[in-house]
Amino acid sequence: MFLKKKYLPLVLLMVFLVSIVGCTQQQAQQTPAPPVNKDVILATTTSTQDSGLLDVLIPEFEKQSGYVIKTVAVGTGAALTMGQKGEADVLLTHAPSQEKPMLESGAITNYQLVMHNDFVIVGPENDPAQIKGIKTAAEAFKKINEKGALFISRGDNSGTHTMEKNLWKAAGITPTVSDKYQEAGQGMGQTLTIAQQKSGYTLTDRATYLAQKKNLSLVILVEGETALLNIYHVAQVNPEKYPKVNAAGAKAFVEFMVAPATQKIISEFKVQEYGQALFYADAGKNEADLGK
Amino acid sequence: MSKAIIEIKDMTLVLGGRTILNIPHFALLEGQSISLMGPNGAGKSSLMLVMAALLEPTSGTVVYFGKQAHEQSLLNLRRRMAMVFQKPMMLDSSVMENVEMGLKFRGLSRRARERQVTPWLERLGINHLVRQRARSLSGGEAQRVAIAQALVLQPEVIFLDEPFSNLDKGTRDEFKQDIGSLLRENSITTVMVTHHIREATDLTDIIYYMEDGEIISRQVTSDYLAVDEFSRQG
Amino acid sequence: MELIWEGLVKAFYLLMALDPEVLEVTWLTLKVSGTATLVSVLIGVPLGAVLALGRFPGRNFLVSLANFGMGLPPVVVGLWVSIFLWRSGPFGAFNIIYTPLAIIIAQAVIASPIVTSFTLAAIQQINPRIRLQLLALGANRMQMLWSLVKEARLGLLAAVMAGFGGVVSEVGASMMVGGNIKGMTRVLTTATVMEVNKGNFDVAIALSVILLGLAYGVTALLTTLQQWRNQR
Repeated sequence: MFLKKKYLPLVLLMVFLVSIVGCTQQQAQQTPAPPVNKDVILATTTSTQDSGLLDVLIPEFEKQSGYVIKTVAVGTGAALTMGQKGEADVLLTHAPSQEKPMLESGAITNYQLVMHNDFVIVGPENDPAQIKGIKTAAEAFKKINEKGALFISRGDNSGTHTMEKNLWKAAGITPTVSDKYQEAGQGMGQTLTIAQQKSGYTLTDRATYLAQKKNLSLVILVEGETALLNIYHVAQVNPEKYPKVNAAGAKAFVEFMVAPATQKIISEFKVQEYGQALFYADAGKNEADLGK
Repeated sequence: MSKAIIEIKDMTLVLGGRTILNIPHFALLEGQSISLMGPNGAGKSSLMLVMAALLEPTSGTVVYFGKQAHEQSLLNLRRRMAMVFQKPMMLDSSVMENVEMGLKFRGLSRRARERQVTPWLERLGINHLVRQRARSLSGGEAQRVAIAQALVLQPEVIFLDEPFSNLDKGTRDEFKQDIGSLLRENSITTVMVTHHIREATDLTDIIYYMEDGEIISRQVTSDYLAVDEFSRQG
Repeated sequence: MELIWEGLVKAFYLLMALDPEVLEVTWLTLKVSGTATLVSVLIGVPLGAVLALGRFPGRNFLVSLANFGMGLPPVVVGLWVSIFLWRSGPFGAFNIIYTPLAIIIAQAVIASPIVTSFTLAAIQQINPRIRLQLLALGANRMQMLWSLVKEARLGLLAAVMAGFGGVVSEVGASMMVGGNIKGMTRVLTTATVMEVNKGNFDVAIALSVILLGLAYGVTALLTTLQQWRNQR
């Protein structure tokens, strides 16, 4: 009795620690017909994760193919850099202006159009810069700049940030960080929250905005311009250049993303919930024809 | 003549620039029991630590069991001796664990430890304490446990640093007799530091007086007894 | 106010319904941070003990390094561990990045200096006369070390608590080396960040409540162990 009582705390501690270690070993994945290298690293933008689309697509792909997708959701800039360094196997991103040079340099291959939605400019309901109804984003940006209204930029080199910088360029303005132009340095969801809390304008993809709508009083002020299209491509990191990548898994994922069944899932994603589509499936289309 | 268990030659101990010990020659013979006496700071405890191979002298040689310190393993050397400190430091575990700790260090099995420990616990009257936490003991109890801790090791030499200082008068006398007969029965070579002449005369055969790190005199205790008897009669 | 209340209600609901996803994330958090803590104990306790008892050149430097390491920013650790584990990095061939093992490594790096420093302090606090006593009883080097570690066990449990508390609550390193991958490296902190990004504040609050509960539960368990004997 004496000994039992004495060692009980030690025994409890050991049982606790051993059970922890024991369980870490078996990270079992139960999937059919395991391929040789199961792990596929998908580098993608936060909007696909934050909108919930990946939560629907990934399990479907894993079920069909037997691969295990490791999704790393970062800004498109970081996702592309991961591709550039061969740290990812497959990319799902939305910054064509940055993706094209990578295709040309041979860093990525099997580059396929997947879907699009669009960017919108959102801002406080009282619209202090009075941009509501302006037809082009460039003009709206000019107006925001003129009126000295607060604009929250992603500032994280993401696809949205790239689009925003392109729009500023089109407006002939080079924004510098000030109390009227602030960089969040975070994902779209966080940036929207900051814009909401500070009553500022921001550029957002429609999917993330709709997904966050329940927490926001920000409203869509400018939309519909062709230049605001948000186009997602999927691409394999080139195995010829980076021999370590899981080429077979990446290829399977690209094929999955453009397959008719997947495209159907994308076009129907959350339509019921929001009364409008978050993404438009575009596989096989020509990028130049979008929005027409 | 019996052989020297510990022999010190031209030994000094300097700590922080101060000479703590300066012993030209000193020998502890097998079966001897001696006391070290003298004022505080005379170097009694330091000398004992050197003899117990727990403190390295600054210069000179110390010969243990016929061999110099550096010719043998200090660990094995320490395992032939035992020490009872002035204020027994118990580890925060049971009395039993404290008493058998030295045997455990020597690699004895649980059963062997028990066999060796039990008679001493009974002899020292602390059998009833074994399950108590060592830190919760009274001064007298702790002193007995500390003695047990040393004696179970069956040392060839035992060092006692003011072993009775924590005890009140009544327990002290009783305890002193216990220890005295224990040491004599087992004829263990003994070195004791004490401030009380009665303890020295009752328990040991020779008294060394120390002052400022030096041994200044040596007295055989039977002489004292004679003086004592004499003065009492006078 | 409404949001907070909704969050608490949601947390209660998620817990009561034993939502499999939440349970998975919670269990993974416990496993990953628990293992990292165990690893840091295996590294930090011997190291702290050696630093407390040893006298060797460079000791003071190592002690100051351990003390400094207690405040290692998790994101810095995350970045450096990532650099080493990336496919292009020196350990890329092992395919560790974006696995629970990667988080365990990063968290062990964070917790080890904490455990080391706590161990060092706990052992140094032991009365030096105990060391002399152990020496006199014939303890060899290992026996001395083990006896002192046992003697310092209250302080060591504090070290474990501090280490676990440090890693279970960090997000920067887990996010960077783990990637917040669902079902594999999504732990409570990274899931909380993600739910905030998704705008699901109620779920985020629920997760935060669960994280607090978990951290408290483990600490309470360890405290019970720590105080076990003192209360008898």
